[in-house]
Amino acid sequence: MLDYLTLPWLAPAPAGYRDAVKALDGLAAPGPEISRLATHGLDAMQLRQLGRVMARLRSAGTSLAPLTAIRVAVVSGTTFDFIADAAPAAAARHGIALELHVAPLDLVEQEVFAPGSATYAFAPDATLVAVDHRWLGLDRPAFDAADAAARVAAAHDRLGAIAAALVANGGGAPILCSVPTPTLPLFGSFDRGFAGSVRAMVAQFNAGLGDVTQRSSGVIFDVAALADLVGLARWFDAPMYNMYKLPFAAGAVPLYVDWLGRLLGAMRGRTRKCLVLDLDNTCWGGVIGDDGIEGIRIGPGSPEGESFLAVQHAALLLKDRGIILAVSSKNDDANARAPFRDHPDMALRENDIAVFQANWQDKATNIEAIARTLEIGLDALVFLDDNGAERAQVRAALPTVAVPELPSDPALYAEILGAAGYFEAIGFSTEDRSRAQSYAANARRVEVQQQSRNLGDYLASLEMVIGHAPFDAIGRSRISQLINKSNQFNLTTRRYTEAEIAAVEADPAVYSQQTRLADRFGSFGMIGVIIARLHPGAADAWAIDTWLMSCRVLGRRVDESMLVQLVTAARQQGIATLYAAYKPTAKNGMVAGHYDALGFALVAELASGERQYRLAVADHVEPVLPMVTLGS
Amino acid sequence: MTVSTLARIEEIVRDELDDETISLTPQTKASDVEGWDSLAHVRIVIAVETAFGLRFDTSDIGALKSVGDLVALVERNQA
Repeated sequence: MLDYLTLPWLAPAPAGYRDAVKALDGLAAPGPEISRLATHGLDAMQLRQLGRVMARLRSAGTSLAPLTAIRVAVVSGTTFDFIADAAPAAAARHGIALELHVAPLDLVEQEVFAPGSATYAFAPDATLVAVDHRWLGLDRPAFDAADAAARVAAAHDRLGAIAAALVANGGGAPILCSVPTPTLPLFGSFDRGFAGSVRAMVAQFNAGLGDVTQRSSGVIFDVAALADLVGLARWFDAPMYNMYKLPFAAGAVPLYVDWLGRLLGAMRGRTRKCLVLDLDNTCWGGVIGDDGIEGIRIGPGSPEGESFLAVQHAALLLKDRGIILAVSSKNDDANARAPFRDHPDMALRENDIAVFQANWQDKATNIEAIARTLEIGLDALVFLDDNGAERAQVRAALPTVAVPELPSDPALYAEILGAAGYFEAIGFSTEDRSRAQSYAANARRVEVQQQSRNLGDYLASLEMVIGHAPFDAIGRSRISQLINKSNQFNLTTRRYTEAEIAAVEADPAVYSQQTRLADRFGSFGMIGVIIARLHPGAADAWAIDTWLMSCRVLGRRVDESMLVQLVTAARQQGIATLYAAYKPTAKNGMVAGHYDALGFALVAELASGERQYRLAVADHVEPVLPMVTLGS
Repeated sequence: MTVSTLARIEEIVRDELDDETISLTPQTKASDVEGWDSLAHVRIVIAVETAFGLRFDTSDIGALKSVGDLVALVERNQA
């Protein structure tokens, strides 16, 4: 059994942790070291120590990059201080530099319904509404069905009104919590079937929370699932509630803040994208090179075989939801592939794996090659390996790759992979669904590129079809993903919530463009986004607020096609000039010359490195592009 | 009252308040120690419970007046 409260997928805090935390003050760029220290199984005090140093560094003006900043306000019906102390360090584990503002205890409505409150003055990107069954009026039974329904509806309405006010008043994205089931029974098992029992009302409330959240383009924080995972008897702590209004047992704080960190990471696009699997004793029992295909243990029939089959099924589930699978194994290539091809009980097959690295090089080198081939960052990878030495080598060489600890019993491998929450998501789009196929097709593309004589022939051979359209409701969740995830091909790296994107969609004064691409290997889905706003200085000019693209389509002249569409729209709307800027970050150096290449004139270069550009619409000459444009 | 219980509590309080210079006697009250406010008190009580593997009764926690009371409470629960 896994003890989730100790976060067993994380290595324990290293000796000298506290000194290492104190040494952060002396670092010019402490971000990577903060992430490294945070990625241990820290207790509440260790989390607080790290969080305190992070706050001090931030207020001294030190950048916490590459952590992504997010400001979160909290309104709570219970004591939040202990959670707030621990949350920033846990969020750093998930790529986030969290700054919190906690409203005074139990002033939820007072803060949320007053546009001038301290909550809004904090200018949060998101607001966590941390309320429980008591605050929602679900803490005592209702003795007739109509009253029960009314109570649940009232709880939904109260929370819905809070969420709507947050959106209207600048509270950022509302984060709404599901409610753990109180342990006190009314009748017993009959509570499940009695609509007015607390158990049944809380279940009804949680079931309807998705709708409440969706109406405000908010996000669910599934505290009920967390409490179930911990076990309700361990979750609730009556003495602590009675004395200090702690919402749950103090021992659950590290896990709670890890879950919160995952959620914030997902909101900022810092979720992992690829699972790299070791093979021997990770995907099957035994060593294929020694035991042969008949000797390895996989599949039903033995407890060991079941354990490894569960790992494979977990990997396939991830693939189905858009996570890329790769293999890094110390083996001869033919040996390593044999079970994927010929073993009848394998669930994973060769075509499930986007990159297959079986050789005798060290794992870190292979993992780097996988990231390069897939054109994703190392911080998008998770590496699953039963061998502690390999894990240590990869952690030391590539500290941004997530490497879960594994217990000695393979029966727990699949569970621990899920428990670690590396692949947290706040939405699921059709692009997610088809991504694994798309990446597998990409691996084939590398071969095509090498065979083609020149780039023009290669691009023509792809038979690309491109389409541009204004933002719309169907594209919104994918647009939000791109805006919040794209780091490399992103000129300004401005992040917007789904609610803000919906506002762009509805505003006739803002130009928006989403771009989709397909080729003969498959559809990429949406791969480009532009937002342009009226230039404040001139009525006939647009300033390009956002321009980003998926790195998967680099070198395909998609940027030129996007500009053609932008210029066409500008002409139609009487726009004479486009202003643009490149704002450098740690990750977007690859697009420093983007506007130069597109024929924009460099107007100014600021001390910050920001480069400002201008293009006279009349000067734009439409190039001949190797693709068909839909709808024009 | 043993020295070792007091020393261990002193260590916990130093960790929780992040101050290595804190020195506790049985007579020390929370108000004598900088930073030992009501929130810190909750943390200290929880940390003491965790460190000694104990859970105190609500009424006993409410009755604490000094470090000596806390030491006595730990030792009574251990007995």
